[in-house]
Amino acid sequence: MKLLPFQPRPPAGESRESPEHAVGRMLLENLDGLYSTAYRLTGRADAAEDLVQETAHKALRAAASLRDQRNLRAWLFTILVHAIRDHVRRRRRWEESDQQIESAPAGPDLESLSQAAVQDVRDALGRLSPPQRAVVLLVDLEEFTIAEAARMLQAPPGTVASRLARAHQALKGLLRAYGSRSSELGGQP
Amino acid sequence: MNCSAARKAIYPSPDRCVLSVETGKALDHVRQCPDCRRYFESQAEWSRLLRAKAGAEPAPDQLRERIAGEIESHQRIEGPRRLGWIAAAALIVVCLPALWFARRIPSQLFFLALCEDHIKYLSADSQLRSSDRAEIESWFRDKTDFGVRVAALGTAEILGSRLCFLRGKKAALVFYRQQGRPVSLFQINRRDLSLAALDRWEVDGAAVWRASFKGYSVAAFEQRGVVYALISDLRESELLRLASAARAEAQGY
Repeated sequence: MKLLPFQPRPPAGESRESPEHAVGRMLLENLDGLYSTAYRLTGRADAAEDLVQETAHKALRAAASLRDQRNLRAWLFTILVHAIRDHVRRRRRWEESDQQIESAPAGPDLESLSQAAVQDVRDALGRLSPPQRAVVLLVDLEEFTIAEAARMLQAPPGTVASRLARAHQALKGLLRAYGSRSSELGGQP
Repeated sequence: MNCSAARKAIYPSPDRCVLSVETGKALDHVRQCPDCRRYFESQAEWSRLLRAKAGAEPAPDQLRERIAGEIESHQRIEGPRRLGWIAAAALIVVCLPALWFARRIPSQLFFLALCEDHIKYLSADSQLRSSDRAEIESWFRDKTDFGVRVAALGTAEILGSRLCFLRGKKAALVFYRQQGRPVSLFQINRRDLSLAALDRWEVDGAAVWRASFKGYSVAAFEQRGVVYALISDLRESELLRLASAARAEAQGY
């Protein structure tokens, strides 16, 4: 059986609901986020359903031995991200060369994002490499910290921060390109 | 620290960045630099917009139902399983002391009965008045279902013997006198009496169990399926010494 990652000890004397109930509740509360992440990283609805189901199964089985309920949400996403990575690796390469960035990216281009159509934003996300997309989904969309995302992705935090910066640059470039294409076509946000 | 280094150090935002030795300096810089504050405000706004535009892919209803079903069935299995473990643990917690008491209390009562018997016959006659060890052993031969051994307890004088019935069990009793004080040596079949009721001591490298009832000391040991219990108002150390001698004697048989 695979060991599930990070389960820090609970603070002494902290009262809590049963681990099975807490995991069940957290699964249902985060089902959309889990499914979204799985769908956006695999690009397939059936695979996303299977991966979320697998995540739920593993989490419920491990719930009894869970020692800490403080960061259950991050724990569920960790299980999911590991399952997705295994799934994606079976189909294509997940790894990317992770050069450190020299500096933070230039200021965000709010204008092109605010003018972009929803579908363009989703397409742009879909065009990122899986590791870059994963970090954008976890940090920007699911609002995890760099440290949490790094634990989920089993990568050094510095690498994840650099990957996020590169993903942001790539997204800005893609959205600007969509914006110019849209203006040429008479533009509809 | 300049703007570029500060922005790199706390990218993508001060509350989600990687903590490092540079973080404090970078945060200080950002607090004092309007350009950097604007940069991170824009960055936060950009993330918020991205979240809004990308939206969430809602999980299909069938998946939600399957997950809810799995949660329910898991809790149905885990609930009784957990209750089962709790019940088993409770049973152990309740039963172990009960077993301990069940074993200890009857034995303690039996040793108390031995002391009362010792007191009762302090001034009574023996059934067999003899100091001859072989005669006493022979007298007991067809009276008990175990072989009675009459040990020499150092310089203690043998006075005689009697057969006792204590709490429905047979006990062979041999009277001694040591330093002018009466000493009773009871012998009981091991199956009728447990030493668990007494405190275990080591005397001359061998186990001797001791206790005190009604002001009388008890020193007991087990040898070849027979429990030997010496009772007297002698000093406990003296009684333990006699028990050790009796044990060595019984072992030699």
